[in-house]
Amino acid sequence: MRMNLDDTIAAIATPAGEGGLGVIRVSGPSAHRIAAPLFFRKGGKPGDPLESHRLYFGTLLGAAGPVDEVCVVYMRSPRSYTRQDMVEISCHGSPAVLRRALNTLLEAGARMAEPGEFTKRAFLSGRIDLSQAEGIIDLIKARSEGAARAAFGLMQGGLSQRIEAVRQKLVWTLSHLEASIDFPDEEFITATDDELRKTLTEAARRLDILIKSYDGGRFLKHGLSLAIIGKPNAGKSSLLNALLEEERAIVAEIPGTTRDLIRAEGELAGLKVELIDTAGLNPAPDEVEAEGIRRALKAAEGADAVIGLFDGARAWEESDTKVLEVLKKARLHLAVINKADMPQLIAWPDAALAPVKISVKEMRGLDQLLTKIAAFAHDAQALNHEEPVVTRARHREIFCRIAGDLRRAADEIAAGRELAAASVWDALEEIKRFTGESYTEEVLSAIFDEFCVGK
Amino acid sequence: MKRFDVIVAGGGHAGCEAAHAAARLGCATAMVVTDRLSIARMSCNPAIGGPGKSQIVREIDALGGLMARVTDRAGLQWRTLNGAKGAAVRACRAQADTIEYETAMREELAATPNLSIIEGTVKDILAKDGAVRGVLLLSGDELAANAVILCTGTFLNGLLHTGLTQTPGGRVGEGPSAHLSDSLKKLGLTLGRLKTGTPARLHKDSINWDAAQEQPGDTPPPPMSYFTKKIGREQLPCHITHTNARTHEIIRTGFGRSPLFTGVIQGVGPRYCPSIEDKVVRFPERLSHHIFLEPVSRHNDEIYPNGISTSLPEDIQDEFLRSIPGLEEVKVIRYGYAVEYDFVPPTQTYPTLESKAVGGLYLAGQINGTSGYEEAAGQGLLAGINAARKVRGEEPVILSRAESYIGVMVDDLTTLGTEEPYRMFTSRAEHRLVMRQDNADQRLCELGRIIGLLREEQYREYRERQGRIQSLVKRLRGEFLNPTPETMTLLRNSGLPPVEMSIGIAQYMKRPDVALKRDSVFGDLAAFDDADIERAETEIKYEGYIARQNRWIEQMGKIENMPLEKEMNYIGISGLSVELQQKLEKVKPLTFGRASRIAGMTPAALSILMIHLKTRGRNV
Repeated sequence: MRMNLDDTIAAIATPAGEGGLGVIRVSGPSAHRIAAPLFFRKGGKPGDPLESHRLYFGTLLGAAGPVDEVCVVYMRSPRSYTRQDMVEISCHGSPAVLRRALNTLLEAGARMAEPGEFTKRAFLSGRIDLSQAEGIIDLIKARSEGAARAAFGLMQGGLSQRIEAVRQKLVWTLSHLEASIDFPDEEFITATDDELRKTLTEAARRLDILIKSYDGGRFLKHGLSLAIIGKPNAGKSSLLNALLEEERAIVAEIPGTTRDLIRAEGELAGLKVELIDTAGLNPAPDEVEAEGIRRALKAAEGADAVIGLFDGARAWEESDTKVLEVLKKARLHLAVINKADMPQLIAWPDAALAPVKISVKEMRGLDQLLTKIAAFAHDAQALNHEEPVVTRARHREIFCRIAGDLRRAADEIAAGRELAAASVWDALEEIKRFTGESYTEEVLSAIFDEFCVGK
Repeated sequence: MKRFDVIVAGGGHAGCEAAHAAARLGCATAMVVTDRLSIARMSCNPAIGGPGKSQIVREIDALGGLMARVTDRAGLQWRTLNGAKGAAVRACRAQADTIEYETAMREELAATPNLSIIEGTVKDILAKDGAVRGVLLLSGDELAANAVILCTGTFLNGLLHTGLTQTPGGRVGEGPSAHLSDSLKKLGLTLGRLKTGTPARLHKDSINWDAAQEQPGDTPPPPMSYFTKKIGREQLPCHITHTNARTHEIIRTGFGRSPLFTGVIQGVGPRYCPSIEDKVVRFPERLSHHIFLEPVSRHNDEIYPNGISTSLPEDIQDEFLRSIPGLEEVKVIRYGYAVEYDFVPPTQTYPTLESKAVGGLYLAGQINGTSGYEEAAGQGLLAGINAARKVRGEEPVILSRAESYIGVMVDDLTTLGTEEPYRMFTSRAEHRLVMRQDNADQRLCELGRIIGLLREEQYREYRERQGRIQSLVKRLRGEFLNPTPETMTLLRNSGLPPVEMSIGIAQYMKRPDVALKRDSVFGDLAAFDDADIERAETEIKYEGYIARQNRWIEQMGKIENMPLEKEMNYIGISGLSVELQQKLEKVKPLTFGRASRIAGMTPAALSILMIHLKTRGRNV
């Protein structure tokens, strides 16, 4: 991984392929010196100096003549993405034009940027911390509204701020611990053991909230897989189609129409969701159905969440008992009674599990269902914008370690303040790992290698 | 011209350890002092030890130095501080009888072979081709040597302040070292200026002792040195009294004539040891500050009032002292004063304490920007050892942050420098749990023997103690407690918590409410002294923490010890800010770990440095 910040790098920042626009980024001390002579602006001459943060329209000149009509903006250090001098050139989005434009810049002295190098420079220059850099990666890769929102929060420093608040509590605690150790003769009042314990426990609790948001956060980032199970003809395929607002699965009155798994991706309530339609749990299946049911059960086991669909228009049957049993094994589960538009013959047997009543046919109750599905992803308030969500395993691991350190410290205060202090120092080290103040080459490489060139 | 191997300028706490170490290592050594009767003088408070400091004193002891031994000979009170806060921050502090301390130290030096004490004042450092050649005295005499150790204390251009009256001097009644600063500047060293202060000394018989609260020593007194068997002498108590609102009011009336607040004093004072006028200004909400009344000696009538150092005018000092309970009729023997002095900002010094500008010139003590007898002595010892090794053509000794407080101090000073008088705190040591005052012998006695400073009989004593402790730890680890009626009775009788089921003794000892006690369930402990028992207990209780810190030390060790060349050129390393390039160029860190601690070093800068190191070979 390159750590040199002295040369000037360039890359195409927009995705490969045709597009309305394509953008080339240049960053480094020579960005202006390299780019300005190549730009012939209307009413000026090539090489005219560019004012910072002003958009210019003109022609980009290559060795063999004009390359394209472009818009150019120069951002003088430190007011730029990387905190270095930067030039951004917006061309027409043809791969050939962009390649020529980039080559022109490379010939003029820029170096081809490596994956993630622009963001790496932003980190190395101290503009963003490591978690914010991770937020940028996630934002670029976000596939749903919720994922984008969580990533945006991370990029904006939402998590960093939470952790900073914890860090300040720890610094306060340490200052009291250390002062009482190093100045035993002084009579200044340091916090009592109880006050220190309270602060430490409170900080650990804040981390718990973040840690708990990880499941939801993981779903936001990677999507939630949701299996629908139920007896034959409960309306599983209709529900899938209704949720996705497309005719994805074949729907028929004939029980057992769905024999294999049907997987379909969509976005529900701002959440990327993979819906899995399964074969009905028929108590007396034929050979093909039996295989379908085996697959259905396996899918229910492997999914992040399971919807158990019941037929409100029919009485409770043995197969419903089987569905309920499978359903309750799933950590995240939701009981749904369909066909609320018809006379209700079902007698719901489980007082502890309140079912959602819907009618796919009349599109009734689906909003309520969507809200419940969204809640899977954020028990912890993910979609209300208040609380940051942990989406990365690296963050979760660090937060778990910190919470552990703090609980240990709270226990240790009575045994000797020096032990509690040692644990709090450990926690502070972990925080440095989170922000990237202390890191190893491997961690950094792993993070920045997730980037595409030019980001 | 007289010839020596090593010359030590100054006879304070740094100078004594330096001269003793160099001479004992076989070097013909001269200690140059203005007055031999001022050797080992305690210019300020009559105490040695305390958190962070007792660890240093024990380290000196383990390496074969003098301070701990002399303290035990000359003490008048011994206490253990931080008893309940944990073994690693537990600290012994002794009140010294300052007169006996000087006498005992003079005797130690007199008994040191190869050591001459010369009365005189060093005026000039003689150097040629970047290497020291000797010193020129004020008398005009020249002394030649291959190594010179400067332990000038507060004497370099010293200036005393009481009110707006100024007197050149390094200590009350003693003139300054006026020429040496210029000599150092000529050699290319940059100087800075610091300030410290001391309170008035009070006459014992003028104090109403009934108005003060007594603070006795511990029984039995905990010795400072590993090699002190027992302290047989009677201890003297200290006393505590307090300032009040009236005192603070009087102090405020003196601000117009305070050298501190009128801008007369330019040097930077220690934040952690402020004068009473500073405390009154910085903590206006505090209506009272405590004062320890400490006896200075069994052989005089002086009392040192700890906590009210001041440079206010004499009339204000008289007045505010008399507003304090117990001091209504007090007679002042000597007024308090502040002293300003030159120091050599220590980033100009290698962690061997040799200056970068002049080979063979070593600096130790307040000249490096530190405060405190213990800090000075620790540096003096290291400088003495390294000066002797240089003369003898041996590799220098560098103490690491993971093995000693002296190592922490010297690393802090030489890589970070200091803006104010530097005092040791336990919180400066990141490996505090493994660097305790109880195990300095385990950390450093081997090294002391290899260096040649620790005496054979002391080393033998250390080995025996180590053997005893290890056998005890091993025994305890191998035994179990069963909840039999006899055991339960024994536990109850010795005030220990009961056990529910069979449990390893070591496991049982890790409970916070369990202490390793004699005459209980821990078997026959008659063969072990109290210190052995305490050590064994800590080894077992802290096992987990120690393992954790050791793992960390090991992990960090690879990067920490990656060497950087002295000749490395940092100017022009691409990607490093000009400011950091200059800092690195100035400090010239010897290892990557030291570079990482330079102020302003960022992870990015370290990565750039690392890449530079890795790729340099290829580019050339």
